[in-house]
Amino acid sequence: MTLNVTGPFIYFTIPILGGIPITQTTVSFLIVTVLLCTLFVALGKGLSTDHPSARQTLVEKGVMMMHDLVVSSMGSHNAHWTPFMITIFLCSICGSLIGMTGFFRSATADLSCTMVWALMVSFIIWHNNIKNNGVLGWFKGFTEPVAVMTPMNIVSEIAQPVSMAFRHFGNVAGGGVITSVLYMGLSMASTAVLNLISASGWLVSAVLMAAGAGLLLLRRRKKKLSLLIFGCLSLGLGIFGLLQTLGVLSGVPVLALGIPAVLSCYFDIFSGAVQALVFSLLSMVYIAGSCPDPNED
Amino acid sequence: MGQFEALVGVNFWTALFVLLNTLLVFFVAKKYLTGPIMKIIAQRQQEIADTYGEAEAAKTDAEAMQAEYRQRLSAAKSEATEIVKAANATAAQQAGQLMDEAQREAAALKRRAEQDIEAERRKAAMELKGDISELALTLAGKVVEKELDPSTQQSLIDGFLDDLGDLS
Repeated sequence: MTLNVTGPFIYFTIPILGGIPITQTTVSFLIVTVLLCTLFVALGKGLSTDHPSARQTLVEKGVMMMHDLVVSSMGSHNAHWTPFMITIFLCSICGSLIGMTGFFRSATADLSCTMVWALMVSFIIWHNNIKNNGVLGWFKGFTEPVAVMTPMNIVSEIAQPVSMAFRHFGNVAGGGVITSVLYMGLSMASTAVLNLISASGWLVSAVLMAAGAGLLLLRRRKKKLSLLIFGCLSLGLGIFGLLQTLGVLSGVPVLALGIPAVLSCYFDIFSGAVQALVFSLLSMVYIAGSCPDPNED
Repeated sequence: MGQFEALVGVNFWTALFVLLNTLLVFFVAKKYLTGPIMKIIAQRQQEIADTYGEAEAAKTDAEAMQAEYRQRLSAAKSEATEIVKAANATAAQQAGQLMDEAQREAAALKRRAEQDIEAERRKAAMELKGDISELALTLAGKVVEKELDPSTQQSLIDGFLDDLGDLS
């Protein structure tokens, strides 16, 4: 059994301009876009100042949370960056979580996606620097504090979007790879265990089923999670072992049931959310660095 | 089996597509969500600020009115105290006057009574003195068996009686 780690699947290629590939990333991000646009338009309707509905209160709370985050990390003169940060944050988290549907691949598990966002941030920073200091002033900024530092400054300027893009992409793609590896490993392990059980004869299966049922019955007296887990496991192994002995089913990945959910919580939900937050926070910090407070000068 | 992209790599078309979609999401978010929400919140803050201003003005008014009433009240109170004090003073003065008058009247009454008594006593003493001198004259006439000339002897006898002692 081999595991192929590849990029997004190319559904088809539009044969113009040298072939435009429509990949899994394209499709899943299109869905995210449609979803978010619909959501925004639906949530932004029917607002009132004096009698806000529950929905409006929640939306206001959410928008104000991002607004406060932007103000606290970028300063109040940069509050107009709130919609951009909301966009980046929600696109990132939805692009990561759409991978959990099983039908679509996480859009952020494609470097094309995260690199675009990182470069957007970089272009905003460069634009602001040129606007504030002029083209010459921007180039002169690379020679500070001493001229020797110029190569370092140029490298750090390039490394910033690259590191942002690779961090986000690597975390999501890596999480996906680990989940795939886990599924494969667990299905291999369950095949091996079921082979062992069926080879030992039906009696072993019967004993396992009885033990599982016993544990589940015992759980009715004592509410313990471990009893439930081991009971289900033992019962499942017994049933599918017996089915394999009888030749009805074979190679059912019993162990892959339930166990990956725990890790998926971390690698898909937590990691996706954290990377979205990290990406938007870094964007805020970098953009704030290029937008100094006009009143402080 | 279809084709796959490389795991680590940037596809221009995918990137362009993501860029356009992100920009679309950004503009929709700005126009339909954050713009209206921020406007609503600003309006509400303005309303709240207005309400606070009105409340502040009303409070100032009320405080001024309260101070005025308090002042009026204390003025009225002091006025009342003044009136009571003045009344007390008048009453005391009148009482003193009455008392003085009464005392004066009593003293006058007493003095007149004393004068009356004195006059009565003098009158009685004079009468007594006349009676006694007459008696003595009669007595002496009888003793010397000789008619004394009352007109010549009278002053002598009066002098004798005066020497005898003041009867008053």
